[in-house]
Amino acid sequence: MKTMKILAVDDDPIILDLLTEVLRAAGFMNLHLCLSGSEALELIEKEQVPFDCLLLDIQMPDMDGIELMSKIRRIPGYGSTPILMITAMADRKYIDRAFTAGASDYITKPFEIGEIHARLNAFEKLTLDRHQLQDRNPVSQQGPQRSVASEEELAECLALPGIDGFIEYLALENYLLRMSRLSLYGMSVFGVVVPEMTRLFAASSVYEFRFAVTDIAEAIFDSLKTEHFLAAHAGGGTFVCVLTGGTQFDAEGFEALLRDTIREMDLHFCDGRPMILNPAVGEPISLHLQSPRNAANTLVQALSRAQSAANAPRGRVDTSRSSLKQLFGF
Amino acid sequence: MNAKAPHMDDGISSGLSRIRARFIAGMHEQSTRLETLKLRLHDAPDDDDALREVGQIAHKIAGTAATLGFQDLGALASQIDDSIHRLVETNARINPDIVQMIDSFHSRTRQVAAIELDG
Repeated sequence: MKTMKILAVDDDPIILDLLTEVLRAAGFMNLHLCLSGSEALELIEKEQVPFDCLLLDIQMPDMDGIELMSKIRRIPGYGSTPILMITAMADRKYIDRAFTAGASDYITKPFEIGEIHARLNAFEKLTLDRHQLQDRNPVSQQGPQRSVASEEELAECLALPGIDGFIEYLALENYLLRMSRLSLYGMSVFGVVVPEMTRLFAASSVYEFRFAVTDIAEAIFDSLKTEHFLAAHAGGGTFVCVLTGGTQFDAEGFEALLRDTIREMDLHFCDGRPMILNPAVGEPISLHLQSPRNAANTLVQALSRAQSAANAPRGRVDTSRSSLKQLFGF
Repeated sequence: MNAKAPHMDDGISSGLSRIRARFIAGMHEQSTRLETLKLRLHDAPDDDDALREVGQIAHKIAGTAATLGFQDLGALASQIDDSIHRLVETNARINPDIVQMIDSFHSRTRQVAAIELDG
């Protein structure tokens, strides 16, 4: 029997019946059902033990699934809980909205039984891995003064809730997989690596490392905010960004802009030392015509290009306003 | 008219059969409601509330029919859901093609509602 505690929310009782049968056949017995968003929020607030996974329909009266998900993500402890949208809305704009609002994955109705099983098995593995990571690196026992972040913690893909456009790495992979079945036209991906991160933070606390990752993500957001994008932290101070709006991207110019943005943030370690971070930005990869199998692999390829850029530094470029306009093809 | 349940894993087939029976039983109410809405749209093609309700019924059926073995009903429901969604978004008027689709959809729900279930 699988132990994951699941909440499913759909205004159609037939769907809830179907999910009950399908999930129980796969061994997921700890299943709770709600017919509306407000009922779900009440139940979540009431339960002492949080849910490990949520399945949400999008189109529901009063509160739709995306609004519900946004509210759930703001509840303490639910920032990274796997959320699977199960919905008949298959348009690109609904997929964009769902992932931007925090969905971990998205499947369309009528659903394939095998597909639901595969998604939930993947979520269960993710949940177990996170619990094991927490057991090996218990935060509660150590507090902010803990001396050294473990290698596992430095490598962890952080969720970065609260920074617009940033979603979990796994969710970004799933986003590309779903979109590749519709259209990736006009989309591209690029990577950002901060080569010194692991060395710089090898002797730092996990909190200091996570603050630095958050700062870099905020700098990426500030530098990209005129664009439609989704991004994720890929572990160890590396990031991947998917541009969805179809504009051309100048990696060299963006790299210079990002470095300037970080420099202006004037970052420091807790002991007062200046934190000098020089991110490298890889050349973009067009996602148009990528097959579903290759779409998620492009994230790895983008990071590889960023690493190449880090290994062979570019010359500096002018970042005046006119060159910033050229940056995105205007 | 008898209809066989789709091939399913043994582990869930009895549960899905019960849900399928419930779905078929629900078709009677859906087809009756569709009849009323269809007549309203024939009398007043600009009855937006009737059109939206047809879209909601189609959306619900599109989400479950194929999983329960009614692929053609699910495909038709999905087509109507998409078409009405586009009409509503663009504020366009209902056209003869959509009326035809709704008629076909209604007929199919009546057929499903009339299915006799095996013992």
